[in-house]
Amino acid sequence: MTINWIAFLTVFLASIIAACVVVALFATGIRLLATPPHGARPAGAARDEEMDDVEGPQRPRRATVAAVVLFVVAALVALYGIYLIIPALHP
Amino acid sequence: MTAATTALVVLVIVLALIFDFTNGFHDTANAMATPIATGAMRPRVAVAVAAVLNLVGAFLSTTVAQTISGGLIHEGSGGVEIGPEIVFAGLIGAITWNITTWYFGLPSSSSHALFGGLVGAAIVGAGFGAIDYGVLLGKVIIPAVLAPVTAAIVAFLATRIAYSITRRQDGRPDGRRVFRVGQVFSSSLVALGHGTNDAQKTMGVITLTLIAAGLQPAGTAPHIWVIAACAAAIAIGTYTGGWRIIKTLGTGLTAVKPAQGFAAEVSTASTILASSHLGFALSTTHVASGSVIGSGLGRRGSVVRWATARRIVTGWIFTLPAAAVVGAVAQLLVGVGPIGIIIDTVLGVGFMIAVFLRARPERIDANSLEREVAGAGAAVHRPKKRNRRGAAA
Repeated sequence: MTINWIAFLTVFLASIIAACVVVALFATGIRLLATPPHGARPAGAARDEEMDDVEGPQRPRRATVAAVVLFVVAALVALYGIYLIIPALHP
Repeated sequence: MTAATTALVVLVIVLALIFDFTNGFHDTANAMATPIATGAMRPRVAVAVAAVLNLVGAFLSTTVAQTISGGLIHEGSGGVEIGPEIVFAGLIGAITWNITTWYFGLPSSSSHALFGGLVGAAIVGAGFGAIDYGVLLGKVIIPAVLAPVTAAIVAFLATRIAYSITRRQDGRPDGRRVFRVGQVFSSSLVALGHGTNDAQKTMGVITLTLIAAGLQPAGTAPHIWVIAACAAAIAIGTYTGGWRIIKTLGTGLTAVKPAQGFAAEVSTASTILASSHLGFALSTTHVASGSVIGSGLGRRGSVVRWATARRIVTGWIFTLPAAAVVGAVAQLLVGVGPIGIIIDTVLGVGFMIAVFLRARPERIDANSLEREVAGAGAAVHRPKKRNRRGAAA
């Protein structure tokens, strides 16, 4: 038996696309939630923090709405994944 | 059917359920090591969620394989008749190896352990010609190399994306802590995917044994009690939590942070779902380990402990041959007759008890892990008012 390389490449590409799309959607949502209030000044130099919370309710309303939309789209992609693993749903 | 055969079938079912338990126990880490490591879920909550989703997953997908070994052993006409004896010896090999790797805290594939046990038993029962080496290479060995590499690449890219999108240049809070909310969902998806994949394997073993013993017509679906028993065994195993393996995967390979953990879990879920849907089977364990390493390579300033990775890979290399050796020895004893089966059972159970007793003094459990996560969290992040709750938890 030989390896089905086409099937493997399909799995590889599908995994990359699915993972990157979901992570990009969710990350963009978080980026929007972290939008500073209007007229906020930079708080310092760039830094890489792991445990920062978002700034709270002063962010522009549009940013919140857009973030929620992105979270919902990411959730829909995940639901599609669940649909795929339940054989009863696609005979 | 004689009383001896009935007793053997019952024994095989019990062993299959024990194997299913060790399967769940071993694989809790695949879904829950990273959310536990970042504090996204408390350990007890995480294993409870994983257990419920494995239970649900087991009921969602109950199509069993046509052959126990997935073509690895020439089964049926012209090949080996895989009767209850070989399955019995194979399960002894698989369970023994799963317990051993748990003791060393190594994530390892339960399917490989099962295949290994069956291969060893079949070689003793029917000679080296019983094995289809092409299938062994194409379905077991090469995927075991491809799975972690694939997952590592996927997770590396996903982690890079997560960090570059959320990186703020103005020094204001970047909100990455929110990824912990996402982790609850991404790790749940991994747990559900695991349930749909792995409980099936044991259902297949029990169903095919019942068919071989003439207790169930060939080609029929698993009985509802088989489905329920397998679902329960894997869920209880998952809830018991292989804490040693969770520790290795969550904190031993690299220090996992929320954005990175989320990226790793999404990568694991995508790869597993793609592989089971598009027909190129990859082991959940290999994928999850690869994702953690890839995400560690993708995050700036994180360190991957290659010594741990090497230990894990060594475990993977030995999984099939080691389970095969134990399966072969068990099968040799089975050849002696009923007394051999009794000796096998006593030795197997004795081994399990011995390992658990040996593991007791250095017990790793939900509480010790939770303390460790809280300690690491407090040392790493500067507690602000809002964050203190997490650090103290």
